[in-house]
Amino acid sequence: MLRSTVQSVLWPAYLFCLAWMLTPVYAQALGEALPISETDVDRILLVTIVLAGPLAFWSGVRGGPLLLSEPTVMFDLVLERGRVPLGAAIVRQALLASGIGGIAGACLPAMGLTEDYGVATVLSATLSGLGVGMMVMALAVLWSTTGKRRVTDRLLAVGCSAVPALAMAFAEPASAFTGLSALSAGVVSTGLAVWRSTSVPVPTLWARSQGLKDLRVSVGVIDVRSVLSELRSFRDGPRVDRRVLAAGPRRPLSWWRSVRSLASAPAVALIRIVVIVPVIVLVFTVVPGVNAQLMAGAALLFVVGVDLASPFASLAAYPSLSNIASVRWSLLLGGHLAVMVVAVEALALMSWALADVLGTSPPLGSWLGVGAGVTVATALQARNGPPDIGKILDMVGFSGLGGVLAVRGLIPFAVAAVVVVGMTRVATNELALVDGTWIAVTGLATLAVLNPIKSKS
Amino acid sequence: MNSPPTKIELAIHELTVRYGTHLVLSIPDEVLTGPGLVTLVGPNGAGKTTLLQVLSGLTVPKTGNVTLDGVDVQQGPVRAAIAFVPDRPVLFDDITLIDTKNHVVTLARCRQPDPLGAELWDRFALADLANRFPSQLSRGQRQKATLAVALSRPADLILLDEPTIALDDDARTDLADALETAAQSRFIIFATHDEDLASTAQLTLRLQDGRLLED
Repeated sequence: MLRSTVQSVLWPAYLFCLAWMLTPVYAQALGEALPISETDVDRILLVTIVLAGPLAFWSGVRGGPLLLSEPTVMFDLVLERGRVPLGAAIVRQALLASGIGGIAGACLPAMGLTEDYGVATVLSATLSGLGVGMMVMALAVLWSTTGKRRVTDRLLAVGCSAVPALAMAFAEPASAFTGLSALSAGVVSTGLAVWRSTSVPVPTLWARSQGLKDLRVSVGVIDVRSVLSELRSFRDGPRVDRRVLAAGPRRPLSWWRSVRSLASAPAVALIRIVVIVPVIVLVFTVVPGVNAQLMAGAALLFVVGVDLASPFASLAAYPSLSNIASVRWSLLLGGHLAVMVVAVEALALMSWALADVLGTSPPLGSWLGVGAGVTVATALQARNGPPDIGKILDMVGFSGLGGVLAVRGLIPFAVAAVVVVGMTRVATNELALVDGTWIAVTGLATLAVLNPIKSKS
Repeated sequence: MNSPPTKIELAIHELTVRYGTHLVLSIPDEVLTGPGLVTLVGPNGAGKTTLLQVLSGLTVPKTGNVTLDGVDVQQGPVRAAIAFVPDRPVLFDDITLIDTKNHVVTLARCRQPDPLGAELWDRFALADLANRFPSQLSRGQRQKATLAVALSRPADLILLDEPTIALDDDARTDLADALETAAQSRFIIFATHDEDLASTAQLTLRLQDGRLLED
């Protein structure tokens, strides 16, 4: 029981640490590898805001972190709409948003873009991240609490959120954040969200949550919790005779059904391309120094690639399927590789463009992009469950599965270490063995303690 | 001596619901009085789920309205008196069953779960599964959990959409028994194709092409 409780608490902490360790380390390596100075901070922040803006907007359109799920509507909203921003689900989302903001904030000192690395610097970066996270959440809440027909409400919501954001942007020099202005802006935004959410249109949100349920299924490959939970239940579940299950006659059909889902995809993909690419070109054309064509090309590749790879990726989201269909594991592996290749290519192109913007060597930027892409892809692979899980079971059986999966979980750390070492070597011709070793050892220790695949019972 | 149960009045006024141009529901005027157990039957596509969602206030009708004791169900406060359980499991993916139940009870500002929810929790033996996440449960177990959790807060009007889907025979019997007891003080309306469960109702409403026929 104690072990179960400890693990359930520590597993989210592991994920959080993973993000907090990897991102600042990348940022640190970037700061060492690229000729970035404090004067570039404004420019970097501008690009970040341009990139983060559409993300928040997209989140808002989906309903934001407020009401993505039917249970939130059914259990929380129906009872007390005034408490929406304070509900358990919202708190979780706020923590997530704040965490992401905090990570972004922590990257600034890690990149050497502030004068020292003292506690005050880290604190200010975290406060900034917290404030930005709160603002992003508030924007999504404000957006979600408006109905389809209430255009003025939406404009008001975006305006209310934009004002504190702009105030924050001009309150302090970007390179000398204390974090207090960001935090204040976040508090103001959250207050506006609380005020607005007292009139949440529940039927609208219920309908939206039902529609979003399908959407969430389609993006299930990046749903960390459910996938891990599924893996865990698989590990803890009854030991079925796979020979019987694998002999099921419907297995190929289930695969082809996913492939056939492509039939309706071209039109959707075309609409995405027609809408997204020109917007990206427009946005980056007005930002000085950004290669709009390259960014648009990367976006195009990403959109098309994701669409093409999604049927394969959807299979990867079902470890239980790959378990019982060990004879088909090569298909799943192919799906993983397809997603990986697409992600790496797209990120390489984007980072090439970013390096071009920053006036440094495009190959160096691509090294960063490819490294980041491989890290993300391997992290996805690790948390989605190995596509060849059936094969692993044949080799090591149930008792050895946890160990193999734990080792797989190390791959992102190993890749990160290699990338950091490689980037630093390209930039300074020196091996950053300390950085790489630190990452690998920390990752190993973390996994040894928190091995998520262990039984919860 | 027990006091007589409080009367609960559910009134439908000139109700129409459309999905695009398709007329899904058309009910001129209907007044249902509880407490009691009412079943809603009809073929697939007759509009049962839509009607339950309209009664719960989760779907806005194209025209007309629904009132519970004279208050429009679209108004926020009255929703707290209505519990709606859809025909599929609806649980938070990332918290355990016991946490979900406690969350619902806390949100309703109650110290203890409602007797109906508590009874279902016991009858379905959910205490054994309390520390599990939804993804660690079977379809039937998730459905049981959804019923027990959703009914853990007090509600005058309980709306159940196909509540016996995925339940085994014992669980169906348990549910029917619990609902019969609860119907002495609550107004319970459920849609079902389960004839055994339907036979426990005091009133059967038949939906056909979106129109309400009383048996």
